Amino acid sequence: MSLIECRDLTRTYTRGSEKITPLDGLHLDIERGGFVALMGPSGSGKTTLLNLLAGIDRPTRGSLLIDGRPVHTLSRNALAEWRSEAVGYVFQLYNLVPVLTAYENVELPLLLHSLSRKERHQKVAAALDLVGIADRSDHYPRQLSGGQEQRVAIARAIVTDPTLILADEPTGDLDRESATNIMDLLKRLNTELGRTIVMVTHDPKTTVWCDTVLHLEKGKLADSNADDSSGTESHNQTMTEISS
Amino acid sequence: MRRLPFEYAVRNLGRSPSRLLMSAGGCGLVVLLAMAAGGFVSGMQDSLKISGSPRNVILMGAGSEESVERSEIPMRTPGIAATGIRGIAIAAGVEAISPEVHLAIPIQLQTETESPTEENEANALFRGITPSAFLVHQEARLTEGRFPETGADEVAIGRLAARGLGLEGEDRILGSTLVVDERPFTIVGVIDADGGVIEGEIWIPLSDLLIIGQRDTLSCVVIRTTDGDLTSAHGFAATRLDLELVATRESDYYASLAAFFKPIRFMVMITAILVAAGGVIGGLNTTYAAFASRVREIGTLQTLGYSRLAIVRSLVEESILTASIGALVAAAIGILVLDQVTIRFSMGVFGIQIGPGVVALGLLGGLTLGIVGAVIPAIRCLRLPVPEALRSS
Amino acid sequence: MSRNTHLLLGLSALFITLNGCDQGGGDTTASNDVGPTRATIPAAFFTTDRPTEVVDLIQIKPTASVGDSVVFLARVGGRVEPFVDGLAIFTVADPSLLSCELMGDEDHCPLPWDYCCEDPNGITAGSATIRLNGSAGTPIAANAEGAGGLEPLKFVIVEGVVNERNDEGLFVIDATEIWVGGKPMRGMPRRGSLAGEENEGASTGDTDAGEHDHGDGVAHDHDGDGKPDH
Repeated sequence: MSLIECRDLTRTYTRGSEKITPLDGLHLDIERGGFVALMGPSGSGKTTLLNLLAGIDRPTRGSLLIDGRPVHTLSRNALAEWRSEAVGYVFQLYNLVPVLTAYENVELPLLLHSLSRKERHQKVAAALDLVGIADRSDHYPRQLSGGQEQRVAIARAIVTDPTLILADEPTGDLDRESATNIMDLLKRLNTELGRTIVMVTHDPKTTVWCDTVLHLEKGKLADSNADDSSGTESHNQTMTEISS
Repeated sequence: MRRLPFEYAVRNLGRSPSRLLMSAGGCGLVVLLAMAAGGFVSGMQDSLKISGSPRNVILMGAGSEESVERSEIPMRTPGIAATGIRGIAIAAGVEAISPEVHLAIPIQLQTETESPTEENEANALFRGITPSAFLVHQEARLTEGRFPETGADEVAIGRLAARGLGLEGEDRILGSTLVVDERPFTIVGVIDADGGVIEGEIWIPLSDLLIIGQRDTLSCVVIRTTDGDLTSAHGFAATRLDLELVATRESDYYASLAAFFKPIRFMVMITAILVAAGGVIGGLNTTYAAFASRVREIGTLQTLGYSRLAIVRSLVEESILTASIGALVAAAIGILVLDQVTIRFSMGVFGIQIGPGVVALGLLGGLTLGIVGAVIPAIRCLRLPVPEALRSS
Repeated sequence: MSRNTHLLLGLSALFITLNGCDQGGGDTTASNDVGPTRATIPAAFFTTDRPTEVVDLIQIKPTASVGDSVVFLARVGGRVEPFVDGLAIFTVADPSLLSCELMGDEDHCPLPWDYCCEDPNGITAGSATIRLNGSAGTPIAANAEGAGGLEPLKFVIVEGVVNERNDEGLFVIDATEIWVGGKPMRGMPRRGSLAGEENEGASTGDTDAGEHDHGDGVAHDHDGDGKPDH
């Protein structure tokens, strides 16, 4: 069974008298453990799809099952609870809370769970260690570089051990080297920890880390590339390109 | 509901020191104003409430029941009352009957450094008395100095009246000179009266005040009864129609004065509420601006799984903290600066009273400001859909 | 201070109550009548037979001397509180004085019986104090309001003896008999002063009923502390 099942997934907004449908009857299955890139021009519906997968937006029509759960039927509060358990979200601009340290930022989602301080500490330390930023845990976001901030943001996204990691242009605001490191990190999370990752990107170079690239156009799936075996190779090639 | 850590609210205070200063300062001003208004009302009310004894009866002119200053009764009244009224208290072998003249007169203070000018002229309430006044007004005590002597151009001054003239400390009060109609009077005594209206008065020998006021009538006669029963006094007033008197229980007289000044207290409170409302609106704007600048962060917290209620709660905590800073500073200023600041009114002088109740009112006002000032902007900010909030810069 | 005041009030109230209890049904002429055994005004003070040939108060006041027996017509009032709570003393004013309800507009003054629109000296000159004394020769310890139908603004004919007077306005009458009439109306300032007009302008039926009760001798249930001094 697929981790994500979209059926006739549609999202329509009304702006004044105008109706906009960024996502229009999408059918899509994403397998557990996949690393999927969502690509497409502006307004193609990729961010809308990501928001629906994250449970921060709700479809106008259609159904969305994630890990067997009918997300489209959940109430606002149930969605919030579900998000805190099932979804890790990585933002383009990191969205760290500036008044909290790296450690506290990563701890933030854990406060929604019934955990002891010690358990939280263990999880936060492990997450920070995994993203390689443990030595800066007491730094505030303003004391970190963009790449470091994004690492903290990734640690925050994985610290609750979610089923699904969603990333909205995670390298969009980073220099090449940082971008490569972040993509490496995401790939590690995908391959070593088996996390399912869905990533919106404009940068074709980042897709080489992914095993599936979905192209969206006018709210529908335009094309797909599902080449699991070539993922690592492509990755290596592109890394060389980026480095040079 | 899982809460956002309290530290989050605390640290948010430090995001913009200037905004914190503005919000806390604004709240502090509103609290200070509320305390000033509350202190004014409570000072005026308490000064009248604790004035007058239920055992005392005031005989004053019929038709002048609302103001003893307007009352005029014949000079012979005390003698006739002494024989006509039963149950008059006797202290030290003397009947407790105090013939009095109450007059508001402009005075000027003359000190070593200050000579009398028109600018420092102020209206003061004089009570012309005989020594028996202390038998009747038992709350009044000469705490410093002595009783003024008749014909020696001497007065005793209530502690609040002295403070109202800028005289603090016995050394400064005793020996100071008040100029009344170009005639200097030396202050030889200081009167305490447990905060009652007497503390706002200047006591002067009766015959001296009769001369100053160029009058041959008394304002009233105050009599202390043995048991607080005024029947005989009422009967006396209804019988001695030639004296044109009414008998009023002294405590009732001041209670009716308190009722008379109710509209003033009401106006003060209304003004304070209106200004505070202005402060709330200003505060709402500031808070909204503060929260609006964090819309993306609020969206992020929602994405992480925090409920809207948890976020509102955290924002309210933050706002309450800000308001509390302002309110506490204001309360401290209120206690240190406003308390016992003297206010003149037609009854004499009273002190703004920043008591526990008024401080509680101020702090409660600050708390309300913190809550109301945050809930509305917080809800407005949270109304934005999460995807839109995340897109905002 | 506030606590002290309350204490003082409480003690005073206690004292008054105890004092009232001590008196029991004894000396009803004492001024301190507060307590459960309040005295009543003997109905014998009141008559329903209007004396004839009666002059106005103002006509006898300047010439009457202490000890003289007098009969005059006046109206209850002349002060804010014409009746004294706890003492059978009330004030009356001469019919020539204009009480406020007889003037222009309605609700001219809150208390029409204080004659506030008249000259104060005129009120003093035209007023008298009526005392209803008990056996001790001092006023009965009861409010006279309501007794025999007495109420502010009503005409009364007082028969009694001059107890005190002076030229400044003091005029105290120890009443022996009182006829209670009705109230005048605007434009009819003498209405209520004649026999048969007792019910004119009466504010409540209760008072009238009381008046008649006394008149027909039914309500004579007083404490029997003595008849008025005729």
